Amino acid sequence: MACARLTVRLLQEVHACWLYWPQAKEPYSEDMLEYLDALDAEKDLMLLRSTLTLPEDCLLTLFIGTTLIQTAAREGLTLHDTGMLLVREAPDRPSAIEEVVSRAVMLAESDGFVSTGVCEDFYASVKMHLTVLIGQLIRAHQLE
Amino acid sequence: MTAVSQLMQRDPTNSNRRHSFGVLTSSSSAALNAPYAASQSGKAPSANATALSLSRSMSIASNAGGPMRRSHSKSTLFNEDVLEVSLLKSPARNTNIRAPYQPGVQGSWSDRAPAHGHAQQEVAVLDRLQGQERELWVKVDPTHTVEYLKTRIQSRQGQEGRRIIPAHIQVLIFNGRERDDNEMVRLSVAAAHPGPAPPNAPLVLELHARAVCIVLRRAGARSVDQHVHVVWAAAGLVGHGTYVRCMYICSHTHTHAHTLQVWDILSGREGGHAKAVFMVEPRVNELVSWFLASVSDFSGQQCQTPKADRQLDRQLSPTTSCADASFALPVERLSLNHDADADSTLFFGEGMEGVGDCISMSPSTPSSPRSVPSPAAPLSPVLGAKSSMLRAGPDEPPSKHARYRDLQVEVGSPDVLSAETTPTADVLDDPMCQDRGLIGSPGNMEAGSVACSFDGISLKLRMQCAGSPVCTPTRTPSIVSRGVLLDMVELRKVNKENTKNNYKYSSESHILFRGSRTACMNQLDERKFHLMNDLVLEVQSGLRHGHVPEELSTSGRDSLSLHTTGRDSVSQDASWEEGRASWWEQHQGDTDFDYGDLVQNCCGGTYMMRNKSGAQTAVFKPTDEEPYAPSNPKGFTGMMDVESGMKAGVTVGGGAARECAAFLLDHDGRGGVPCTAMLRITHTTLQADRPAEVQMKVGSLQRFQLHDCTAEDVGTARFDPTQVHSIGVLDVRTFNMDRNSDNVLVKMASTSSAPVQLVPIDHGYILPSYKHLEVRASRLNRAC
Repeated sequence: MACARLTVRLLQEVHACWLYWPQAKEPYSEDMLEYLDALDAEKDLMLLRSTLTLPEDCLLTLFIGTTLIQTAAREGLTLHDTGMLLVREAPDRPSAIEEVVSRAVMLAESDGFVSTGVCEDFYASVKMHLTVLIGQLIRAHQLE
Repeated sequence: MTAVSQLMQRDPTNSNRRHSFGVLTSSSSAALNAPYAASQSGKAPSANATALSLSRSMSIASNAGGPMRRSHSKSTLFNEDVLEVSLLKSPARNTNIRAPYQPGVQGSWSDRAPAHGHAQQEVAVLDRLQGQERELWVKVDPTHTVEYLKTRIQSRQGQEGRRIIPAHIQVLIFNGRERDDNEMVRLSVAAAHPGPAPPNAPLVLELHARAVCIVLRRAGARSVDQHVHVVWAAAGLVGHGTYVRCMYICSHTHTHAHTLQVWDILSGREGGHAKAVFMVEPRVNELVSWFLASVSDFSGQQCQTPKADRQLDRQLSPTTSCADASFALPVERLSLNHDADADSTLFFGEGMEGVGDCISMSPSTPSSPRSVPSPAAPLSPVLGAKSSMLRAGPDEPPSKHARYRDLQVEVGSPDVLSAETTPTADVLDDPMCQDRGLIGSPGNMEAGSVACSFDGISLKLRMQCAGSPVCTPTRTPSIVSRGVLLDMVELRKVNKENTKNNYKYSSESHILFRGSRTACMNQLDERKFHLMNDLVLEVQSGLRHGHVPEELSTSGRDSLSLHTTGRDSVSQDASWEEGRASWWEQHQGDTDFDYGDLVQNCCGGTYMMRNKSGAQTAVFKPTDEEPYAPSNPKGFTGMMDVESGMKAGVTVGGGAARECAAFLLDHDGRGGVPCTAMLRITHTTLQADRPAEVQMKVGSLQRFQLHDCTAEDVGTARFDPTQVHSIGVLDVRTFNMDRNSDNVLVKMASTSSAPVQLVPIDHGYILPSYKHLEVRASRLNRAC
């Protein structure tokens, strides 16, 4: 167990015990699809912003996650497929979502926004790029 | 004090912050020498906290791993509790407490100071308030600002047992000029020695102090001018090196405008008084202490003997130890109401008319016996001799206690609480964000307020938004913080008839939210709010008499907890209550407070809270006891607000907010996350022969789920796909970094074939910063 933890800590990746459970490979139920479709990332961000004191860069993570699961569900990916985008195939290779995030940040920075200080524009730009890139990622994943 | 809090939290370079289990750091062993450190273990300072040498009671995790006993700091700086405030991020008064070393800045010291700027220079401080030629030697880095030097002076004074001048009222004079807080010490020296400085030339600073003044005023005095007169009489003494502390309390018979007017005059905003070296800036906790002092007379005996006299002194100056940084906020307005049906005698006795109504508060002003040898000495002889009108007579003992009912205090000072001093980190304890109490205590307090009370007195804190919109989507947290301030502290004396044995003790819990009530309620699902409310009320009922410390209640407790793991615990009600009541009868002298039973199978401080019947109800995780947080009871100590040693992307102290976030994000309860609320537990103790204490803990409170095992122990075949999907969706949304199968509880179904119920717990490591994802990836790209 200690070794496993150490690995997780080194990899810094999402750790999900459900990833290889058989249930995760089943398609979502209709009810769950409706629920996922109704998720509103911005609304959730507002909720956390007004009730808790989490920093804004952590809230962006929530945006990433929500956009990812929503897009994936709309395109018919299972929970297992989505989870595989989060974890790394090999320790030295970034996961798909990590690549997407770094590319989105790079694009936002090339747009001229900086990630220091009051960076609402930066976040807006990152979100915009993220939405596009996650869409591309999911579609590419489907083609495979 | 505030400086240190900044240092502690803003030093990401200190990688050596992990201590192995139970090993004491050198700073801790030094702290052990403090007289009562040995008896008050359980606090774990970080290495940087040594700068905070004033707080001698800062003790260590010497019993790391053992049962957690709450301890409190008895060291006071005019009752500004140093230890806890520093841990919980008190509002910094200035942004530039420790200026970064700038090689470009030229000064005569820069030749001698090494480039890294760590050369310590001894500075001699002549304490003019001591009236003696006693120098105080303080070591500072030349690149430190003067404000930091002030905090060091304050610390040294505490260390040497001298009278402590709080940093925020210190005035440092060098070469006849007062030094600005933002100025670097080095520049002061450079100005003093234009040429190359002589190698051992001491830098001698004179220490003065601004007066902190509140004047108590009795109802019936008519003119504001009289008070002004008194105030100026007091202010005149400032020039003689006297550090004046008095209080102005206006009774309710005066209009609000009147209060304001006096307040303006006092603070020098009006007329030609503006240039006075004079500052009206009591802290909330001073007022709380003062109020407690004025209403608490437990002994019932007059000061006949010297011994009794000393006891009375102690009663009159209870210490309010507040972990809550908002208590250190400056007070803007205050007013005091009398009990209508009580003795109308005022605090300072009868027979004072006219100007005599305005009494300087001295002997009972909270003061630390250690730093002030004779509590009455600093002020009363001076006032008695030079302005006898301030006192009705030297023979009049301050033995009459006021029958005040309410003390209303308003605080709020946006300029000292600027965005820069409130970093956008995981600031659970951000004083401006955490104090958004939304629900009151059960019973007598109205909604929208929080309160801590004990049988004699209740302290009511009313939090209000400063008026600006709290949370708009475009604002970053730092900006939001600016508009959110603790507005009002209300003290209330309630009936103290039913107290037994002079022992007053109570605990209160409050849900914390950031932002104003309306802003929160607009966003918050009402059902979730009610769930939280119920949970907190349930836990509160278990806290009513305090929690019996674990190690002192062996047999009865164990059998109880065995019983109460069953589903029906109501029958245990009576015996539990009785057992606890009798325990408190026996151990009333022991004020140490346990919030709950420490759970052993995790790294953080996790406590099992019980309801009034003793059943396990909820799990409380204080923010400052998370893994690598300063007060971790199991030895994994470190600093707040640095990146966690457990997981990257989250900061120490941010776990509680994340636990709560998981519950809030779990819409419709699909994932089955147990109800979680941000909680502040306030624990108040008042005893005849002890200082009053207000202890606070902030953390996440999660409803305890009875479960049979974890997902580790069960085959996955019996899991319901919908539940797995719900948990998985939540984890993907929040990037849960810690969803191992131990963190999914399993409730077995009645039949062996039916699907079991899954309960996800432990969401302390969700929502890492996106930077963590992004930076790692880019580094890996480069490596490839």
